[in-house]
Parts: sequence; C-alpha cells; structure tokens
Amino acid sequence: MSVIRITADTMEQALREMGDVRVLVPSGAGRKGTYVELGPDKKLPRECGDHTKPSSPPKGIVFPNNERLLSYSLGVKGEISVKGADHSQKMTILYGTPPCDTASFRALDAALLKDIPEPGYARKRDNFGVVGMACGRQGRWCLCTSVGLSPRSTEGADIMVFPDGGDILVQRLTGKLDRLWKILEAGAKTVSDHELSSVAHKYDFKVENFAFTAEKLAGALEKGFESPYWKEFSERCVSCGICTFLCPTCHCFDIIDVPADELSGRRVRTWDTCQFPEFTGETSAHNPRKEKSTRQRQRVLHKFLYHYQNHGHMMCTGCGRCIRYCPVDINIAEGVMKLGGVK
Amino acid sequence: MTDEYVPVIAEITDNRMETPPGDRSIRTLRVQKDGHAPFAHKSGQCAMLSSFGKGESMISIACPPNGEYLEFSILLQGAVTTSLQYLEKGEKIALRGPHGNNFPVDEWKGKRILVTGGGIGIAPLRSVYGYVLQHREQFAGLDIFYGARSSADLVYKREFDEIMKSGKASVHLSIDRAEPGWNHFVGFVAANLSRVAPSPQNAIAVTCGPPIHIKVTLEKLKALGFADEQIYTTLERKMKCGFGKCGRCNIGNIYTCTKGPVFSYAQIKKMMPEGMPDR
Repeated sequence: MSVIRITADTMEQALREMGDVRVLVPSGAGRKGTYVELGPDKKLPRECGDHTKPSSPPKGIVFPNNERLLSYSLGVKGEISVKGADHSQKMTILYGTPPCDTASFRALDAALLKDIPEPGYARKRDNFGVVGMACGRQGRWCLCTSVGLSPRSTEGADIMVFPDGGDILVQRLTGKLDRLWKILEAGAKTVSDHELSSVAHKYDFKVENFAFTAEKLAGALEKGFESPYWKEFSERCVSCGICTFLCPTCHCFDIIDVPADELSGRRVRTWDTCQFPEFTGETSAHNPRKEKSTRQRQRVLHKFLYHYQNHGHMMCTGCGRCIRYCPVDINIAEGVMKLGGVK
Repeated sequence: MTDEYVPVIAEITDNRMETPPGDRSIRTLRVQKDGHAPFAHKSGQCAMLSSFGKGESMISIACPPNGEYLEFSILLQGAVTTSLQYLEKGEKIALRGPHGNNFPVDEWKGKRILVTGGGIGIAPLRSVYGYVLQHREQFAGLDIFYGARSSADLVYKREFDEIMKSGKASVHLSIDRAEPGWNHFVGFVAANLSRVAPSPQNAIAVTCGPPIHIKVTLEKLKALGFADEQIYTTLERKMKCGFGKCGRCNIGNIYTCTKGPVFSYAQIKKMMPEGMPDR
C-alpha cells in the first residue's frame, strides 16, 4: 500500500504536528521567491506550477553558500589545530516542489554523493526529505519534457503529491519520510494503481516551448565540441554567472580561507561558477577556459552530456530559470537545439 | 564518516633550497608524522597542502613510496606556495591526500623506462624514476631527460650527479640557452630527445612539464615510433576539493583529480579535445 487519498488539510495538519521538524515551502514565484519555513501565518501550498516556483532553487537547503568546512587556529610556534565542522541539521521536509526542483536532488545526489561523498552535503542530506508535487501549470521557459522529466515525474521525491480537487493523492516512494507517512496513512483511504494513474494522467501534458529530446542530442553535442557556434552562443554573455547560481543543479564550488585574525579563522565552501574567467585559471596563468565560449560550452555540456555520461540522466531539470533570469537573454534550450541539429 | 576536508597535521623535517631565491625559487619540503610518512601513496599521486589563512594548493608528491616521508618540490607561484616555502624544519604543516590515480609502475617491470621532464614537471617524475631506481634490477633500463630554462633553474642537481655516477641510469640534462661552463645539451628537452633518439622497443615513456613541453614531447615520441599506449603524462588542472566534486578540473566527463592526473596518450586521445596538452 503506497498510495492514499487524503485532504490537503489533513496533510497540513500532519506537517504542523510533527514537532521537531522544519517544513519548508515555496514562498511564491517572482524575483524574491525562495523556500521558506511553514510558519503559523503561512498556508501549505495546495497546488504547484510555474506560478508558484520561486526564483531561487532549493539547493541551498542542503548545500548552503558560505558553509564552514573547518576552523583552524595556529600557535605562535607554528602549531596547528583544526576542528572539522558539524554539518548536521534539524530534520527538514521540503514540501510542494515542482518536479523540476524535486528532480534537482537526484542530480545533486549523483554529483555530490557518488564515490567520495561531499561531507557537508552528505550530512545535511541525511536529515532531509522531499515531498514533491505534480505541476499544474507550465511557464514560458519550462522545458522539463525535453530533458526526460515531466510535470508529474517523481524523480528526487521521497513522497509525491497529486492534487485532485480538494483532495491529494499521496504516493510513498522511499522510506525516508516514514514518520510523516505513518501519520498520514492512519485511517486514510488506499488508492488503486488505476486511480493513481488516472489522476496523474491529468498532469501528463507535454511542455512544448522547446521541441527537442535531450537524450537524443547527446551524440551531436559530443561532436559539436569544436563547433564555431559556441562563439555565437556566448557572444552576449557578461559572465555574471546568474545562470549557474539560480540553477537548481549547479553545484561547483570554491574553498576559501576566511581569517578571523593572524592566528585563527575558518575554511569555507562557497558557490562558484564555471562562468567566471578565474574558475579554471591556474597560478601559472595557464587557463584552459579563457574564452567565454569555452565557459558556456562547459555549462551546457556539463548539463547535457558529461553528467548524462556519468550518471545516466540530464543535469538540466528544465526549470527554465537560467533562461528567464539571464540579463542578456542567453537561452540554453536554443543552444542545445542548434548544436543538436534541431531546426 | 570520514571528513575529506580535515587535513592531517604533520611536521616539516627538511626544507632544502633547490634553486636560488627569487621569483622562480624552488624548495623541497620533507614531511613526516611521528617519523613516518603521514599517509601511504603511489608514484604519481598528489596531496593538497594547506597554508591556513591563504588556502590550499595541489602539489605532486615528489618521491616514490618509502614509508618514511613525503617530499614536495614547490615552485614559488602564488600566496600559498610562497608561504609554504617559508616553512622551517620543525614547523607543522596541514595536508590531505593522497589524491588521484598513479603511474602503473608495477605493470612496467621488465621494461625500459624513459622519463622526460620540463621545469618543475620533473617533480612528479621523481616518484617514477625514484621507484625504478629502488627496484632497478626489475627494470630493463632507465633514461632520464630533464631540462630547465637555465642551469640555475635545474632541481635535484646533486641527485642527478649521483645517479650518473652510479651508472644506474643515463641522464640527459639540458638548458634552453647556452651558458659558460655548461657541458650538457643546450636546447629544449624535446630536441635533446630527438638527438639521443631512444628506441621505443620494450619501452615506456613518461613526460611532465609545462603544456608546451608535453605537447612537443608527445610529437617527438610519436616520431621516434612510440605507440600511444607506451606514452604516459599527467594532466593537472586547477583543483580545489581533490575528490571529484568542486567541478573545475574536468576534461569532458573526467575529473582529473580522481580519474587522473595520470593518463596514457591513448586515453587522452579518447577524451574531449580540451584534454590535449596545448589546450
């Protein structure tokens, strides 16, 4: 039994009564939108779509910018003492993310947990679960169905919610949020697979802003590495990095020391971007990505080729933020289509 | 769970001047923890050295595994390397590692090993020819080609003199421009390689140095008849985390800090073109 039908009010009550849990919900769409705590004056979202999608992605909840990695203190005779950081956080539930933001955690898990886990992300991720919601409204820049996802896809979700009138269908996908699931499940009506698929089918619309299938273009992108088009694609780029900072899956980071005084300080992990010229600049002045065309190429191919080769899914989740918020209107979807030979 | 970011604290037990003080100063640090190497490593691997308050730098381990110590030959470049050079015997150093893959030196036993190093690129190669010298009877031969801008820029000078005297290897030194009293080759390392023309028969060639050195050396080795599988090099990129996460050292889908830095030329040819040494 892994799907139940409850009212949205039941869900809200359950989340509010969980006690020692932080619940985060979208604050609303628009330029200052982010994911915020479900306070007493805030209503649990009943629906989700491009009109509820915050401008900031949720990655910072488990992958904060400026996270302390360690503290150091030095003795006057050259002694060194180092204390690792405590990356733990209170159990956190993210509720009501659209499938693009939900799937970002599949991509981040693959990139940051595989082989040697990134300690900060791994520790926070342990105490973090996602209740994704099927998306009822596409926006002008959405491209989820081009990147192997859809308005109803459950990738990255521990629990998935499908709004159906005043009710919601709740599907358990992993055991991670079982405390919440047990509360919801008690006395709830079980839903058949048939009923689930008929409700989910309402969310089966195809997002048609950009007519391409990223997986089919991987081969063409690989061959297009030396294409002169990269220059054209990046011509207007001002290397501000907004596309990567607002991307739900971009995770490249820098590590810097922040001295408090001459003998002590912190080492900090900060978000970084492949769009900054110094990102790959070596002290010797050698820089394999001096030109902005090579840096934009890295961004596009990391999402649509390299991550796909390493992990079997696209690193772009189709949220459209990089297109919408680019100050010079660079459109990653158009770039991929041009390079992939889609007219 | 181990915390990859927390370094080992070890001690500087030697700090040798390799080249005269100045803007191309090179010093070799020996690092130990309680009289032993702070961690085990293999030839070709790197370590992330800290200078707290300034940051970290990825540095090749410049000695073969010996259990006793690690050595790092550090060229003065930026804030971290400058401050590392000032570390004195008895002072502490924080480091993490080992990072990356290694030269498959054990698989090369029975072969003739040819190393060609340009500038500070000789440092990682010292872990290779050092290993061969440790197990000399198991290898068919050892040729060392090494060059720098001037005689003052050459590192490990006394060691090379000893190796030459011992007869365990043939050493071919070069400098870029003629100097009074210099009785070895004048010109680039690759030119010296063409002049000596070592045979590719049963040989493995390992090269490291500035990108231009690697590029030209690869061409010369190919001209001498070396197959792609017989040529190895290291592809270092800017690195921050050292465990395949921070996203800047990649060549295509390959992170050089974990899958590299050591690659055969056959592997490089299969990588995205930005892996070519002149990129």
